[in-house]
Amino acid sequence: MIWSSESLFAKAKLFYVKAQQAGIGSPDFALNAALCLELLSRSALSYVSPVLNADPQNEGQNIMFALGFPIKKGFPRSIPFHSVTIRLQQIIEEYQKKACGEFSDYFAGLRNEELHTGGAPFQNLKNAEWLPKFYQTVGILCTFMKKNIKEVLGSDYKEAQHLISELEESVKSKAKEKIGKSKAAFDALSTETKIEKITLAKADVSHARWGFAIISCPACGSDAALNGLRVKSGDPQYDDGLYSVVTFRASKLNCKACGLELTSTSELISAGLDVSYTQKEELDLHDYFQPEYQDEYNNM
Amino acid sequence: MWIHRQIDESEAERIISKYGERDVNNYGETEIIFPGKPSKSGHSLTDKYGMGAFPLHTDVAYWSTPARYLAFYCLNPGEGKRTTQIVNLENHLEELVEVVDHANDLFIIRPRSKPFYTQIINGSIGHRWIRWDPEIMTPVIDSDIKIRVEHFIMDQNVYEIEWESRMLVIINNRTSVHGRGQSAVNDSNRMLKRILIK
Repeated sequence: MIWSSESLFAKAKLFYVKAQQAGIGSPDFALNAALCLELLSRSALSYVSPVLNADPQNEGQNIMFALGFPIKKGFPRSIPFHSVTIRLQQIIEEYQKKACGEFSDYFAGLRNEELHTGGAPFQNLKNAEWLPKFYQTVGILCTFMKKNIKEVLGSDYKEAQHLISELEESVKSKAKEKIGKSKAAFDALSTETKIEKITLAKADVSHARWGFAIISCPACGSDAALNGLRVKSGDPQYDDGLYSVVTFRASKLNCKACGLELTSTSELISAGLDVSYTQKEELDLHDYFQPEYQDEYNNM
Repeated sequence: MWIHRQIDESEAERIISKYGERDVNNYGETEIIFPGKPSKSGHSLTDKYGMGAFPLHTDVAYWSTPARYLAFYCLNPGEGKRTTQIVNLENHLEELVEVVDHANDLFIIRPRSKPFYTQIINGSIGHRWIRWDPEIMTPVIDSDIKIRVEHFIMDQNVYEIEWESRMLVIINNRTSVHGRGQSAVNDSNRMLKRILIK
């Protein structure tokens, strides 16, 4: 089956071999690495179930194919890569925390430009801009599938581990540097300006938005907004109305008082912040149960 | 590997059912195999080796995931006393990983309607399984890999099944390889029932 995790994994390796053959200085190194990443990402989805790669349209034919039934007409269609990365963010905590989805989307964008347009996006791309993050993402996907990173990267795995360590170290120092700069700038303000900014931050409307949480800014102590991805919905509960508790994993922090911005879960963790938070979501009794009765309504 | 002697077919069926659900190939849930049997696909080992011995291999290696177990029930051992050779690699998979070297472990399976990429060493760390059929797996990176794997397999203990009527043998198809031995005479009356288990 062409969507089996093992077969996709083998093909991901094929593209990494092609990348190695092109040579690290060649634009084809990055192009083949991008193709490798797409196949490896799909392999990770199929590791959970090949159905996760199936495009749900076409009257479920693609889903049937993923379950081993021959497709009636045409070719099986898989979901677009952007949907792959969204699914992986929900499935693999480390992938979401380290913003691998954002990187994969960016890298796939370059690949699309290379393959679908007259542009040459890999021509001037420096390896430092993508290679460490590529290796980190490959490592996270391999760990999730309980495979060794060496299985994909072959002899490059030692260099990859070195670059991953350097990348993770740089995320930590980057977060500390951002906090230090914002704190220094805020401390330099007059007391009146500080009070004004703290009041402004407290009144920030984004705090009240769905999916946002208020925390104390690690730089200036004012109210700052955390936001991120919804990762889990609890079972429905009843307390004067139906609701469920939704868990979010933060990926961004924004402080309107000192201007601090942390832009990935890794940076938030490096800043010592708790990246999980919950919110109540009200459920509509009618919407929640109606789908079960849909068939009966249609039969009337 | 599990061997049961002197059991009738219904007892064999009862034992086989404990190993899991049956899988189906072109011949249905149970296939009668005998030397020289013509194949439906035109790509079988018989098509290439005729009445001769078969190389050690994984059965249905061209499936997305090969059957987990193989059960053989002997209806007639035949005149040639032809054995089945089995090499159990279950405790040698990590050694095989070293021999293969992950970087070179890439094959394409072609002689089927849907070619696909695959590897010898599959699965996760601690839960490895193998796919090995030198007849249909073409190396993509390292053309010498087949020779290394064949040498490695030949260096292991080879267990020879000497067939008796009413004998049932079950092997793990994903951690061992098997092959048909030689016969000095035409023994197309050697008949085994082959059952694939998911």
